[in-house]
Amino acid sequence: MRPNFNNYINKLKKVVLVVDDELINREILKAILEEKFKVVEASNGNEALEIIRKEEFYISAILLDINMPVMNGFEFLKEIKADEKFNRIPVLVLTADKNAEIESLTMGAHDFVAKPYVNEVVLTRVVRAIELFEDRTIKQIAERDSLTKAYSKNIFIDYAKIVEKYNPLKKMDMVVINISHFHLIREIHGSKVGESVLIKLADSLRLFASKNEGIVGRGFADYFLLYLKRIEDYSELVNFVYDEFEKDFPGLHIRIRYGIYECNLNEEMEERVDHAKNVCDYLREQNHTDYMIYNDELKKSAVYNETLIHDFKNAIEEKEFIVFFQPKYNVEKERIVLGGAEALVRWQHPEFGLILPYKFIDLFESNGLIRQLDEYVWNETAKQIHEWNERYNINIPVSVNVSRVDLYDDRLEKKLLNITNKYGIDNSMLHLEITESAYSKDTSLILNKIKNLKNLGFEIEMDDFGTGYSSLNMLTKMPFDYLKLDRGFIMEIANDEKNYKMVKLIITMAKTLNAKIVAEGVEFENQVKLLKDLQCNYIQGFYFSKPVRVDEFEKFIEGEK
Amino acid sequence: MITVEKLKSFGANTDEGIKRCAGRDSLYLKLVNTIPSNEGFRNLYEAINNKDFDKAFEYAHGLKGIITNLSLTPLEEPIIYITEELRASHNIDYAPYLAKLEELRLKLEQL
Repeated sequence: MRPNFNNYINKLKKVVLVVDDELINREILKAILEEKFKVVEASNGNEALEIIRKEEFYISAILLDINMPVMNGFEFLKEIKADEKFNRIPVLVLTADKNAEIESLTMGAHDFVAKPYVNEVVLTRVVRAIELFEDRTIKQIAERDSLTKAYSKNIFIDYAKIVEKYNPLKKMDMVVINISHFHLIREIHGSKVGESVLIKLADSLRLFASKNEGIVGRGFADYFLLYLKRIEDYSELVNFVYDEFEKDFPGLHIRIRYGIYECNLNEEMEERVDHAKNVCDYLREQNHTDYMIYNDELKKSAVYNETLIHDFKNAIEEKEFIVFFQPKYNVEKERIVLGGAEALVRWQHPEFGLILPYKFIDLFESNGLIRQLDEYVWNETAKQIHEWNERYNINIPVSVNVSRVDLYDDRLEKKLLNITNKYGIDNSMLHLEITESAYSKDTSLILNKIKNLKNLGFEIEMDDFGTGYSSLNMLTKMPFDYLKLDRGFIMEIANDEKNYKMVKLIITMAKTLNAKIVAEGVEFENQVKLLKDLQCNYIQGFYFSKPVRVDEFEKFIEGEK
Repeated sequence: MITVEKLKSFGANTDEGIKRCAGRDSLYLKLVNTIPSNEGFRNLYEAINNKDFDKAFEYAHGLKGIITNLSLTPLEEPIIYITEELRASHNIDYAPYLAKLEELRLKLEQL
């Protein structure tokens, strides 16, 4: 059984405001209504307006007496109906007088309740007035994600707002939940298992939510949303979901991240989701914990990120992005020679100074700006290759990053061809670095894209090999010319025999697949020697040089001459 | 001290009144106990005495509401009559009806 939102909302007592100067009438109405509603009282129109405008309670209906001192019922009706924020609250006038009924009706009252009260009539009329009112404002529960039965994001946000209106004083949290490397679960175990994992996660969250006055929505892809009563220790949630998964998927290694935002009543619900998602995304790189509560540090980082996004367009126009080059040396022969370079972008920010790419690449990948940045780098690089050719009569191939996001761009091939044509360089001079993890998502689409690029003559490099989760099967399908061995393998190559053997194995495998090996992050001479012995083709790293500006790089070119 | 039994003997429809209080005898009795000292009676008498019939209607109307809600049947007849006469702005002699009302209020007070 999936909990029904209507049931949930019904469990929360809606608030009815009773406005009558007679204590006895208020007490009786309260006794009648309390079974289904929370009752708030006012003894005249003025008091009622104060209560409504204070917004301590979300008022679902108003029962209004007409004859009252200070501000009578008609005066109150006039005020409330002129108030755009509150004029939709249904008002039931407490009268049996025909003249008063007509006047109230023309002033916007919804119904009448006559004295002496008949309990069932009072309750039925109030319930009906609220239902009619809510039908207008609340959409019916049809908009659920068809797979997981979680609410779609918009509906989730609408309901979260309603939950808050019924519980304005309750402390609530917004949680954004995501499965790390979900695409790999699909890739390795198949899409059916992937779907089951999503359903299981949604079901587990719903079960937890039902015990904590919460609701569950699906953001997009494998992001889920949870809005619930604040709990002291979120390891409860993490452990609960973990145990649920152990029941159905024992042994399935899966990391679920929880970004938590402790809600502030004055913020838009969408903003709260954004904050929680920021935490959830931040946790992607934090392996020591699976959940975290939004804090000031993250807030600073969010503001920083917003500034970067804001400044991006201008930075492209003003050429604040500077391409650095790190040399790659060919170590195949006795004499080590300059074999190419990798283009690495830096941002010379007018306020923050020189910003390294790790601070903005993920950010720009998440919002698509990376496409513009990559195109900028490709362009600057091609221009540079052309200039070096003109000046030194030398062809230096340069690797540029092609983000996962670029691979979904229908115009990618055209963009690259335009650039190489513009500067009259051979396509093979641009080496396209594609990270290993990009290969394992939407395999057939990516595969076709890379084949196209390769057929056009661009050289393909698989970047960060060893950090992702490529299956061997995938490696045989993917066309690539170079395999870039991640620095993680290199660091311990001289100290750890297992590591050394692993590198040896990868190099052998790459050669079997007719690919060349580039070792990244090489810092020491003994590493160079070992890699040379293992017949590694290219070496890049601080041993030769850090990434440098064009003028410094040109010294390496001149050194070759 | 007013009790349900005494109210029954007074002629009040206590079953109806208690039902209206969500079946809570204690609440019903608590509310009925406030009736004899309700300021509405004195205000009504004064307003009629001062020939302020608009005010008198408001007080009468208010008393009618609480008396009928508590199903204090004997008091209902005079208060409804007074209210409707005032609503219709009939220039009648209210004294006998007020006297009847006051007599019943005292009786209720002495239960």
